[in-house]
Amino acid sequence: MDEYYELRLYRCTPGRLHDLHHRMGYEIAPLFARHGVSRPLAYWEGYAGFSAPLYCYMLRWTDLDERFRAFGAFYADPDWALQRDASNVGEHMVERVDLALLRPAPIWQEFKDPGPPRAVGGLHELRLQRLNTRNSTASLRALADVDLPDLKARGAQILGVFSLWFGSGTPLAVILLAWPDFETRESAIKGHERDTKILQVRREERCKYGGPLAGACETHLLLPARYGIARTNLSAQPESVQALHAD
Amino acid sequence: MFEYRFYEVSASRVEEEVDRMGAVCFDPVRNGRSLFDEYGIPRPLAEWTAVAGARLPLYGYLLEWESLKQRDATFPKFWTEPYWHAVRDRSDEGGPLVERIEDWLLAPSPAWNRTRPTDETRIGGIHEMRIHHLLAGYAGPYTEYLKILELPQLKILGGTVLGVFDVLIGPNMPAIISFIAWPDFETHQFAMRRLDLEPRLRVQREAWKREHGQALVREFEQTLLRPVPRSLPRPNFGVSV
Repeated sequence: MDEYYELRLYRCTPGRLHDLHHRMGYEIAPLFARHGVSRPLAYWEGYAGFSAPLYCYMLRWTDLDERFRAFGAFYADPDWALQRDASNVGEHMVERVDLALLRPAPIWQEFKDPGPPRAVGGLHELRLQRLNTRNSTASLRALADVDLPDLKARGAQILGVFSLWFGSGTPLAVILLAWPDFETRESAIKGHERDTKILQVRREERCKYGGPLAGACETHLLLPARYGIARTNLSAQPESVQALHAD
Repeated sequence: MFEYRFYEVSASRVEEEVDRMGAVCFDPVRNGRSLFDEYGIPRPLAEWTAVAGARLPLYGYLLEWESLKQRDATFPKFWTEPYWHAVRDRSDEGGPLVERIEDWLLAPSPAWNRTRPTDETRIGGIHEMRIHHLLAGYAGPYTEYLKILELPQLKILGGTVLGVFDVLIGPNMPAIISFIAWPDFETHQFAMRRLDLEPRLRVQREAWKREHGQALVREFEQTLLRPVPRSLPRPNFGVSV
């Protein structure tokens, strides 16, 4: 089965993040359901990065044509216009939108959680990692062989690994991590960047490929929204919660 | 005059860059002095690496110059120093350690209250760089807003204002940069949430919209920084009035 993920990053109008949470977590669910937009896999907010205050959520699709049909119908629904205008009260809640369509990277398989799906709390991290344009396959391999195992050993849980399919800055790896807390991440990053074995690998990569395999990385620290906390392997949210949101 | 330099560093290599800077800025090289000391380049008021932000890894530092004449009489001479070239060539093997350099000129903003005398305290924790890109022509009222509303509010929420600068040379101007220190990440996150709900800020934004038809900030960029321990800044970056 084809599998696509949609990453939606919203720069929120200052002062409206609380209202946007309410819209996304509680008001919009019946309208999404009416048009076949399935319940998002997770929702977050973030205050560190390019589009702060940031609101972010992810969707999963099996058919992109169906995705465009569903969103088209949703946006054309007069009930959505009514709901939006009522909660906007004269001011848009979102100032800027960045959308990306992703495909799961094959290397994600190597980091899937074997247990039953469960919510993963703590501090989440979204990395939009630029890759070497001539060697993107080798770049992903390096992530799987070097970076992700090291971060995992230092306390990260790997929630998802994707390649950008449509959007800005391809080739781009999109990585979603979970950390128990900020301090664990700080010492992990420090350890990672002081690791002489990793630095040696980086030197070999540069010499072999005529430059580094990874470029600049847009990094967001995300706080999971309690009405839809990401689950292991970004599994769908459970039915019982869906029922709650359909009220 | 303040020079704010920040570097986009090659992946995984930001600590190498911290060490490379240490090798020329702090480590004694000749006659017990560092190269920066020898060439008359001031020690940074602060150095940082980025925790999160738009283009990581990132290393940045802030310099204060008496004048640009002083700056141009010293810094470019250092760039020709053979010891520095040897250090740089070693670390650039296979590809440059620093991939892109931003070099901005800043001046203290009138919103920056420096009346509190600076002392020898060193301010660690987590630092935050807030870049406010403004509508052209509205730096004045926005400066007033920062001074009267936003900066005092950040203090109430646990932040310490390190410095506030107008960007004199840089991209996407007009722009104001504020550097805020927080005791820890959790305090910062809680403060941001509270700030977003603060009614007085909301009233101000609504007033701007009535008066000018739009908000005065076009874009806002937030970067969380971890201060490099050897260069923890003093209050107000140690800059007196």
